Amino acid sequence: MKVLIPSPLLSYTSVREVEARGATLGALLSDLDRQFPGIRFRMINEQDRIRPHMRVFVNGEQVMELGQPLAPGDAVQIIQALSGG
Amino acid sequence: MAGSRVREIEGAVLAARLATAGGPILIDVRNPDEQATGSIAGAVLVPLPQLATRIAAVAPDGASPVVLFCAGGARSARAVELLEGLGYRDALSLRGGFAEWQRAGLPWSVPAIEGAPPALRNDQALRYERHVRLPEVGVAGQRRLLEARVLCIGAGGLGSPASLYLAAAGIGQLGIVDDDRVELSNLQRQVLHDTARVGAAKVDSAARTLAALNPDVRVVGIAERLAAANAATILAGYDVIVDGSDNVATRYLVNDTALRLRKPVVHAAIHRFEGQLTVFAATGAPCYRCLFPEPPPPEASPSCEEAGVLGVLPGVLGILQATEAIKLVLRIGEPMAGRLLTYDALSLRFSEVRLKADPECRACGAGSVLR
Repeated sequence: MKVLIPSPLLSYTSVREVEARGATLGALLSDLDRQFPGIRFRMINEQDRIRPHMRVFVNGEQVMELGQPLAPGDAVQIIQALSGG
Repeated sequence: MAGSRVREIEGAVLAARLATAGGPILIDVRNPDEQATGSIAGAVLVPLPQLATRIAAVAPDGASPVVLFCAGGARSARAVELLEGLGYRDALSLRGGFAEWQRAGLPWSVPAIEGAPPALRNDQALRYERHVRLPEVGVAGQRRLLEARVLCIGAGGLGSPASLYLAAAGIGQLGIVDDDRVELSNLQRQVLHDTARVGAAKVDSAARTLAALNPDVRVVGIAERLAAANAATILAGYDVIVDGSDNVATRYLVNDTALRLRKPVVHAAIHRFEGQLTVFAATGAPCYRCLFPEPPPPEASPSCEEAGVLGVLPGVLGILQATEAIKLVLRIGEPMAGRLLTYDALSLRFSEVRLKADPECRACGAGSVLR
């Protein structure tokens, strides 16, 4: 499924939209990490929680749990707090 | 054109006849929204569709001299034909209409309409004419803008376009908080400032630019860094807060202070080619801490200075902020509250996600001390 990457993580993916697979959010993030090593840790902390300055949206709705089931057609968007003005 | 058949009168001739006793009955046949932007003093306001039924009350004698006018002369020509058909023998159309009258510098004013809010000054009626034509704004909406107080946090990349358009829109009081000075490297995106002002305080540069654009606007420059000690005092004097700050600490401070004071915040933030926009409405809608409970570590949120930024990017986001602030003042449309817009300049793609209020939120949740 399509995953939109926030600007501060483009250093990992180079492109804003990438493809990844997974039946759950956790599996999807693991697949992303296989393709772009290190990216998962930027989003998920040592307690397996989404970092509080990163947010994940599936089909426009916020999800909080790595166990969140995903379907192949889902659109995932990762958003990070930006500071610039 | 109708003008070849319908008898017309020149503006200067009409002005002279109006200045003498026994002048003609003057009728403005434009629509009410056009009349509200200004008319010729002494004109009776009778929109063309009502002319046939109201003319007997306005000019009972068919021999009375009558001059009709509209915006450019077309409708008043039809009005003359209509009156002639009703037996009026001395009906004239003002050549070139009200537009030509104004261009010639002849006297006019904004008519007082019973039950309507205070009218605009003549120069305001001209300056905001395109606003007043919008049914969603009108004279009442423009008055609301002229009485509104909007605070821009930052006179940088976002604050520049936001404050320029807010000033152009006639926001009555525009506060600008910024303690920086203009640097040459700012000018690639901070369009409030110019090369000659490098080294000047940003709030002074902003005040000069905005006052030159629109002298209706009272620009209040606050050359201070927003801090816990001054935030409540500064924000309290404003109706809408536009957050264009350049660091997350200020963003949390703006959020918490605005929540306490029940002020809506139009939020935008940028990084390289990407921007985010939302409205934190302060009334049950999610707040900044609901979205991001904790700030990113400094290395994860580099400033424009560290990361670089496409100069035009804050232009897009700052103008969207001004749009949302104006909508909030006018109470029109759907504000971005509860929604977050992201914009990627490289792909030119906007996307939107829905935000949820967090019942556990430290700032706006049930247990918060700010509520």
